[in-house]
Amino acid sequence: MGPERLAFRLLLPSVAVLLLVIAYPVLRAVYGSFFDDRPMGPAAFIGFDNYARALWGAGGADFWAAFRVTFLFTVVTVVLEVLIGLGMAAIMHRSFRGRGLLRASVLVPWAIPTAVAAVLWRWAFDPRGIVNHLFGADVTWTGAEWPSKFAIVFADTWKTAPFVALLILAGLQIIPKEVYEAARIDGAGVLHRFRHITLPLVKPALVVAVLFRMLDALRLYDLPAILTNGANDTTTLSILVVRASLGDLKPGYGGALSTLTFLLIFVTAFLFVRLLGAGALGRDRT
Amino acid sequence: MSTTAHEVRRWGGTAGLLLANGLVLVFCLAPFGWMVVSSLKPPAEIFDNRLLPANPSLVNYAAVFGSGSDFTLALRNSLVISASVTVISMVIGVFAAYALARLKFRGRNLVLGFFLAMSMFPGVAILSPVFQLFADWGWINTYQSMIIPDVGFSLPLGVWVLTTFFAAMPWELEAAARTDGATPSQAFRHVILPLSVPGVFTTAILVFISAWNEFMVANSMSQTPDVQPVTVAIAKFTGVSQFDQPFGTQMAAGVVVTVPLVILVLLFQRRIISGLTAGGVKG
Amino acid sequence: MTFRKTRLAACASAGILTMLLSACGGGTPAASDDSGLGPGRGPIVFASGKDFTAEMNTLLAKWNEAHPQETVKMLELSASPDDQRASFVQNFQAKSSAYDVLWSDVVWTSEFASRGWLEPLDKAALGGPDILPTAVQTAEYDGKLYGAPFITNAALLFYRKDLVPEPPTTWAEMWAACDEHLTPEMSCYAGQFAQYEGLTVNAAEAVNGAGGAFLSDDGKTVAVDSPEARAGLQTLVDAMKNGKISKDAITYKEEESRRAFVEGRLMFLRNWPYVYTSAGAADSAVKDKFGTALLPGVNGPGSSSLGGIDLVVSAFSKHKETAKDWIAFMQSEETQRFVVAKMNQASVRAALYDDPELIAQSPYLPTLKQSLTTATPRPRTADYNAVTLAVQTNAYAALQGGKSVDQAITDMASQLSAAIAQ
Repeated sequence: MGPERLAFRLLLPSVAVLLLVIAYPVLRAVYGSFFDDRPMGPAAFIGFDNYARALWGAGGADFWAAFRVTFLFTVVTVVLEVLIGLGMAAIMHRSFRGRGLLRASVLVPWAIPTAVAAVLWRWAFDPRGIVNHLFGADVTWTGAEWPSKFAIVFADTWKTAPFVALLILAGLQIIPKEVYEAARIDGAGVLHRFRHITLPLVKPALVVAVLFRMLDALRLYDLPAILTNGANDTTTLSILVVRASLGDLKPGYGGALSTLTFLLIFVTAFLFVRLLGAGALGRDRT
Repeated sequence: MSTTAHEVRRWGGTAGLLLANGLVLVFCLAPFGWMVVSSLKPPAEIFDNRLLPANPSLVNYAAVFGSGSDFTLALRNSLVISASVTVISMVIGVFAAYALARLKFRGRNLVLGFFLAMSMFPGVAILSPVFQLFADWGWINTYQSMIIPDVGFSLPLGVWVLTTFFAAMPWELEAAARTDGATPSQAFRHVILPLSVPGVFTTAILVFISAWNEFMVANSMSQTPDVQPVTVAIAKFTGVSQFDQPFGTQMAAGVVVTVPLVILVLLFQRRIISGLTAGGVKG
Repeated sequence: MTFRKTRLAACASAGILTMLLSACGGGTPAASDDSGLGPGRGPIVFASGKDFTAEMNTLLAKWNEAHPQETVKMLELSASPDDQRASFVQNFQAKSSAYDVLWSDVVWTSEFASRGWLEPLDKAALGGPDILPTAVQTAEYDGKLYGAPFITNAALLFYRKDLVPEPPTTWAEMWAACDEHLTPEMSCYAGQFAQYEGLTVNAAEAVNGAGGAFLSDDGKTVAVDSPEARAGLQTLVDAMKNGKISKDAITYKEEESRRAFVEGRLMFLRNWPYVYTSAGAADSAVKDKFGTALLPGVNGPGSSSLGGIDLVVSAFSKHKETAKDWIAFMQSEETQRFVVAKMNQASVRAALYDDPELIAQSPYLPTLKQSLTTATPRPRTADYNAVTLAVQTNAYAALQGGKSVDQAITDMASQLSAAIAQ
């Protein structure tokens, strides 16, 4: 069997599942975005009207506000998560005693169901909650703009830095020990070893972790929905989509919003892969 | 002299490492600790901000498993769904990742891009069409109506991570095994797979946990307790009125669903890693 | 480059898949009417909100015993109204017959009815003169009845009778009472001011109490751009600014505000009757120290917003006749008495509020009846979700001080007209 046929067979199951439960629904949503949302009777084809409405029509202000806050959240949380995740991974990699326990503990924030974690943070950031109590503060966390944003960024970073850490750790574990030993004997310092040996070797894992964190952060929904319900300029693009599709019962307009969200994410991911990730997946075979 | 300096440095390194360990533990576990503490407080004291419960009580746990609650059933459903999602995703994901990392074929980057693009749509946009499709098939309120979308959600990450790890493998070993007469599949299973265990295992954990925590699809697809997973069961917890947020019960439920997960990971970690490594050496 | 090609490839293959699916998708099983009961009769499914007391089972058992061939199965949905609504919408959009009778929050009935998802009901067969007219209004859309009001709700003013012997009837009296009697650790007044549905309810009460409205009665024109509406919102904004409402209250939902009152931190609280039980409980700081009154207004008592649940029949139900009988049973005098006595909910039947036995159990019933009969339903419109969002966001901005009241009302008016225009 030639490599092309083998590749086709190996890829078929994954691609089939994705076509069924993602691509087909997505195409239906995109198709629907060209129709209006009249309550009764067959919907009428309206071309790009839903898109025009979202970008510069009645929905423009909401859309661009959501765009700004979504990208703000994404940049801040992804940067924090990478820094913290790298640190955590390095510590876990170097600890031998209690390493399993450390790994399990790091998993805890990620393992708590998102809805439960969001409720935990909602009460923790209550004006009379544990956060104000511990720090002797008197902040209405979920009642003002920047405290709300801080609370959301903090809760998200806490929950997903472990995801980054675990992926980087796995990347570190497949680096052969000999490489390190050799560098140590050569007298390379910690920073030097990190920059010239560790970083290039974990780069593929790091790029994938950042890429997927970015895709998730750009679709952030639960935390702002539960902590602030979108108040205080925390309405993300996903909240807008849910509001339009399920809230306002306007699947056409909702479809347009989610297509726009998709395009924004697509462009962002594309630029990211182009700028930082070239060659991340090993030998480029095309 | 140089020995002493070396020792001092090592001792300092160890202390630093311990401190760093401590920081990581506090960062990760303090909020969880607060969850445990809250879950042990009786309703009247739940908001008293004491760091330890004044009158520890299991009343919230009793409420989780109490009469009329199907929480044990929900735990079982979550286990069935998440385990199926993990097994299916990992098996077909490993196939795909092998092809992407190892085989020369046209359109490889296109396929990688396709997998990535499948993670770029807001979930809610996917929900309605899938629901209608499954309703037409009579699939509503079945395990597969949750398992298959979850597999779809986890495959892009799974395939990308596995591809990365496979790409970093020393494929010369596989080639050597092939020259020794092993079939491609044998060479892969006995040489490459054992070496990529950390990557495969990490991916499996990530997939399992995201399936375990999935709510949106489950809330739409499952209608009766016999298929509902824990996330849906938790969303049904209430206090005595529609306005009452049963904080204590929700925290107890959070502890109940998180702790077994972590223990499971700890156990599997040892079993799987040692098992596979041993198999690899023997093979 | 490569990514764009990917998308094209994905589109093409998904197109093929779609054709395959439509070819292989099986039809839904046909309705079996072998029961001999006649058309539209047979077992039904009742998609219910959370049953807080587990007493619903008693009602089900009673019905099922009397109707062995038309049994009702209850599916209890998530406790969150948003999740309940999402599940309903999914089923309606898929034209699924999985739910026959649904538990519809009063503000959803118009939205569902306007999309043709609900079966119109016979006004003569349901209710009768004893059903509270304000509750019936919530179930009407475009002149037709689409739901049977099952439980209703109106707000009460909880006050500290140990500190304020006579409850105030106007805002001015309430602020004056606080100036006179407030202790340092207390704040004067709270309602629900976080940005969510509760804020619409509170803002509506302030606006209605001042003689204003958000929309016209038929829900087809915007009415908020008026001096009365401005005055109503101004009352809350002023109280927030001068500290009569504590700054924490900008995060309050029902529970946070209830806690503040039950812990003795509030003089006056606007909330639903459910607070009565916990405020009177043994561990409450205000046990035996509180009373209930009507909400304050400008020149006399104000007007509460109306809460509650309508039972509606799905247009896609295969057993609509049984469904209609079931909702009539749920509205019957006997069931409604049970709703008050055992389920601790507000009945839609006026006579039960004068029942001495029930009043002994829930002494606030006479006040609640007054509050209910003078209540104002929230706007009834096919676009309620967009309407409430326009109200919430602008009222919130005004309360926070980010917008002047004038600006908030002007913006609200333009967003409301955009919301009901489409």
